[in-house]
Amino acid sequence: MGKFALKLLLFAVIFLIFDKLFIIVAHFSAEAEADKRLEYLVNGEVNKDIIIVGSSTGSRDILASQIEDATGLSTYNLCYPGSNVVFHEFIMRTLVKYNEPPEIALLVVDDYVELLYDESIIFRRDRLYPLVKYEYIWKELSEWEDRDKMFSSFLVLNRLNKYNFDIRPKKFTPIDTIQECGSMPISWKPDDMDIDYVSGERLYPKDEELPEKVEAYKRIIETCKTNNINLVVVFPPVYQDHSISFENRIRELSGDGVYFYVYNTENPIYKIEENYFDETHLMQSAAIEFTGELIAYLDTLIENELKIEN
Amino acid sequence: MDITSLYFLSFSVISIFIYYLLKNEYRVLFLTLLSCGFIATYSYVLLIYVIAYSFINYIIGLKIPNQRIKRILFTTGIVINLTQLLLLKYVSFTINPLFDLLKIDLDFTVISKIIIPVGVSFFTLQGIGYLVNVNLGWEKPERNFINFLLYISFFPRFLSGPIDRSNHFLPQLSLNKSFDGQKIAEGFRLVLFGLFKKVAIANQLVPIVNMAYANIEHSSEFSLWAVMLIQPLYLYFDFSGYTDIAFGFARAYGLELRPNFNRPFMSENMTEFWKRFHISLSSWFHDYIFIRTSYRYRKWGRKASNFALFLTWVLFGIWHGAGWNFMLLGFLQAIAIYYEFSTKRLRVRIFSKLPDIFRIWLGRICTYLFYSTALVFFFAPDIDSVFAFFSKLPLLSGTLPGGVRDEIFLLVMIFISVILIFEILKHDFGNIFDKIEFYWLSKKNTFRIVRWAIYCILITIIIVFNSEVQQFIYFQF
Repeated sequence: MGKFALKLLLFAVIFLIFDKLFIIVAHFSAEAEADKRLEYLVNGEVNKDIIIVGSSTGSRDILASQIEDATGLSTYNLCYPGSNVVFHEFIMRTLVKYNEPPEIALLVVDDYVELLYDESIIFRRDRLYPLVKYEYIWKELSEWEDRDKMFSSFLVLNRLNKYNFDIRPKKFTPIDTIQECGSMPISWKPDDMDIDYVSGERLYPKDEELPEKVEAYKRIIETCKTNNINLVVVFPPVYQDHSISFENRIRELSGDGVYFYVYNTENPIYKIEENYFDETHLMQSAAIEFTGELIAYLDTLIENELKIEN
Repeated sequence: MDITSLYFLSFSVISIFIYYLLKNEYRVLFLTLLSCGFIATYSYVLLIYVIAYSFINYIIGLKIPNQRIKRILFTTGIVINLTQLLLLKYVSFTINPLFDLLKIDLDFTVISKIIIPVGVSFFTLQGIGYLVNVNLGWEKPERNFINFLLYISFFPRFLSGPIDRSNHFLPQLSLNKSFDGQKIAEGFRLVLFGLFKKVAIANQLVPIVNMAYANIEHSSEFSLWAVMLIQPLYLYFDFSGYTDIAFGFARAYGLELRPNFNRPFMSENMTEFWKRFHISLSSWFHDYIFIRTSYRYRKWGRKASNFALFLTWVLFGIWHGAGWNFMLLGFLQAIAIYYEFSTKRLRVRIFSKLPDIFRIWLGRICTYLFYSTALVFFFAPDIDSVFAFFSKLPLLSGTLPGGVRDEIFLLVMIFISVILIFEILKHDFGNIFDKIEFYWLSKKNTFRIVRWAIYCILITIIIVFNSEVQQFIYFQF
């Protein structure tokens, strides 16, 4: 038995040495990424006055560079298409952990699936996979992947995912091209896109809310309060009537000390199909208009309530 | 506890060393405690249930040889076994609709919610098999309860089999097992290959199959064809992966389980297929249902075996789940086997004129295609979905199935091809396979280095691909 145990131990040692070779894969995996925003975040390189957090609506509809130019406050867009509020909470948590907290955080909510089940918005684990060389990231991933932290602490392979092995340099696709400010506006439209305007109040189904999403939303508010970040919850335009019941629910959950900006529902441009890429995303020209309106609101807020120096 | 997790694997490897450090008389107790601990990770209530279930069967088994009450006891035992299976697995299909009809406001599904009936379909067959064996005098009742509890709960096979026979498993427990490094190494190799099959192949095919069945209406016709052809491979690699893991750990503890797979895709007809696929289940149904029914109604002549055939396969289908689709799955197998049996002479006359290789491969392809089609009944959530699936097949348009990246899919197909090539070699070109095996197991250092390098690569693939836990398909039974 002793001989067998020794052989097994020898194999384990050889495997552990072999395992360490994969540090190279972890390194190149991060290098190959086109979207570096999360890596900037973990490296403490996102020290901005205004941060935008949200899903694709935030990344398409709000132009951070436009806000920066107009307000004179450095602005960066950290919105990830297809991400949910749990992911946004992770972004906020990472932001304050490694960077100077911003003066203002714009949290762009998805009307009205923000806190509901929706398979198109998820925790974007794929954004974390390339960055497993960072302890903070693989620890976060362990929580999501039933991988044990203890094993990950000495097994590099246990931090890696099959996608890490694709170390070919990634390129932006036409729809996911990220500007320097982090925004991802859309300037082209598919020919076959045909959408219908939905009018009338959509009653918000509070009973269907997912507890983990509600908790994540509350934690974002808490994080902002703890770090003295002025949180503005932004309701962007959608190609349907704005849901008042959803807005009320968000206001109810947010409590005091949170600001709200609802897009100008009277502005006719938000009822023109040509201004939309699809039901929930604006084309770049309309996004400029919407960002302009948001800037006007922010200017008033900064001047009257926040007293932030440019 | 997930049996593909590093925790489970490390825990099992350590337990093997402790097992051999113990004196022989304590080893069964040790394995029983491990098995109870394993079951408790799913639910404490389930553990209590399994102990109670084992105890009842143990007591009935002990008392059966008593001639005076033999018949009553045996019948009671079978009724208890079937009733608990019915209550835990088939309530929504049998009892609840009956209560609805009688307007009785009782919901029995609550029982299965409390107990969490993991592995119940497997251990029930083991319990029934034991009672039948004792009743027919094929084996003596087990006198040691710990041994019997281990027979029911042995953790490597508790979740999804293979379904063991008491007269195969229990006698092994009384044998003195000395430490055999070669056997343990064989066991670890089997675990490694089993994990590879499950994690690197089956788990990667899950999204393709699940996506198609979750949304048949919106899946393209072409993708449904692709899913239909992939699903036998998915099921095979998932289930045989689990079986290999169970076999490997059992062997490392010095125990042998009954075989469950024997290169099923080399079968030339469905009769042969069911002697090679999920062998422990099909042979259980053959021995305890088909043979017993044929014997009981032997006066009917040929009709008795036909009746037994259809009864066996319909019950086989129902064992898989409460639903018309499972019943039809079994019925289809019965039709295929009946057809093969009744046309055997004619087919031999026609196909014996064809060259062997053509005949063999035609048989294998037809068997594979039949099984692919039948599996729609297995994977579809209900009978309506089965019809929806088949109604889309006559067309052939659309895109390939989604759910997995192209490069991963390609890699998985390479893994599958390599394994199937080895299966073909073993089956059709035994001498070549033996040569490869000879070099593979060689004790020369060069071969040992190659072997260890392959182990390292396999472990690497398993760890990297094992980022998302996917339950074994047969876990649900």
